[in-house]
Amino acid sequence: MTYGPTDHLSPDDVDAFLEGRLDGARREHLHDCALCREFARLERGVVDQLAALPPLAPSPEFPEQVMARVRVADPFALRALATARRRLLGERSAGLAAMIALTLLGSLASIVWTLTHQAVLLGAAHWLGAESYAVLWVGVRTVASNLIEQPWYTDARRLFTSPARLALTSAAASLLYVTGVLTLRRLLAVPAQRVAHAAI
Amino acid sequence: MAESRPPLAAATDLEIVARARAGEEAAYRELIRRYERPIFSLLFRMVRDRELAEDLAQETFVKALNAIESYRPEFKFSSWIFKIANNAAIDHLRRRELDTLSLDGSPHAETPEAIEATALQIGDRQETPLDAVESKELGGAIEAAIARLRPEYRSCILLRHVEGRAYEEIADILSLPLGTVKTYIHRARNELRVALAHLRE
Repeated sequence: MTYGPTDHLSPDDVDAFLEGRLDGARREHLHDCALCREFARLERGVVDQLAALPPLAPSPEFPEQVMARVRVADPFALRALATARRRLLGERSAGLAAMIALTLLGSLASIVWTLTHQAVLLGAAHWLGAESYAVLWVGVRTVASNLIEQPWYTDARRLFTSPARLALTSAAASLLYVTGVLTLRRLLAVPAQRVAHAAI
Repeated sequence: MAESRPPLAAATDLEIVARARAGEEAAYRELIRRYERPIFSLLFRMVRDRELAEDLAQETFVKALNAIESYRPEFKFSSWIFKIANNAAIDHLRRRELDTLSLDGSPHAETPEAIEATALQIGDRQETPLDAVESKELGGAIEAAIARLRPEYRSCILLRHVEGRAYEEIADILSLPLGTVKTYIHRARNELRVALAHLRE
């Protein structure tokens, strides 16, 4: 890439200069351009001052204070756990093979049982269907009879007696729903964050 | 058979973490020894209060060492612990809104003793009185200028030019895109250059 005499150093070029890896063409520009030379000198000054800042030490008690709150894993317990695991499962590959064999055996047994007991399965399905239907029907009847006995039932029913009323009721319900959703969205919106923050 | 292990001081961070996971207490102590100064320095320069920085550093180490089992070796241990420390500092700054702080000590210090105790202590190196005055003046000025930076600029500039971390590692520590990290560092250097201009005149 060729640069003109007014192509001053970019921030990346300044980084390269500070790290001593500025390429030939840019170095030449730096040599010829007093403006960039002065800028690079000032940047170098800031970086040198930062690098010269001494490391700061916490109090001498710091390591002990930390260690008092750290849970060091008990090596004997860890060893005992590893031994128990080895005894129980053997080697990892043997454990894996046993698990696969068990799964295959279980699946095979399930298929065989299903094929030889189709009548039992059909009977059970029929019984389950009939029972579910009965329970559902009783539930619907209970809810319906409870509703009809409510004092507000007759008034509420009038809302659906004509197409115009039905449309009006639907519109009001939709409006209420949309208002509710918008209010919830506003309440649950995440506030804008000014500071970038890393999470572990 | 007795297992021969290299001395902890010569081991890599990863080897030390593995030994800590195996329950070797000395490995925990070695991790503290390696990182107490960089972590404390970063936190002190972020919050400008010795006592608070020490509390945050303690919180950082306790959190990291108690969760050593969940550390993933594909990341650098230094990135992981700096990330925890930076989170602790940023959380604190958010809570207290201490974006700009006093160079001379904790803003919460009420007595001269407390101010002295929480003030920045620079230079445990051997210095002549003249060196000490000059270093205090220059160091003081740059420390003050760092304290005036926005917290996210402060984290970036400290990690890059004081702790010597690579741009990529800083992006990893702060969970920011690489371009954003570069921009923050360039802006922070600009602000520091302007803030230190009076010393050059």
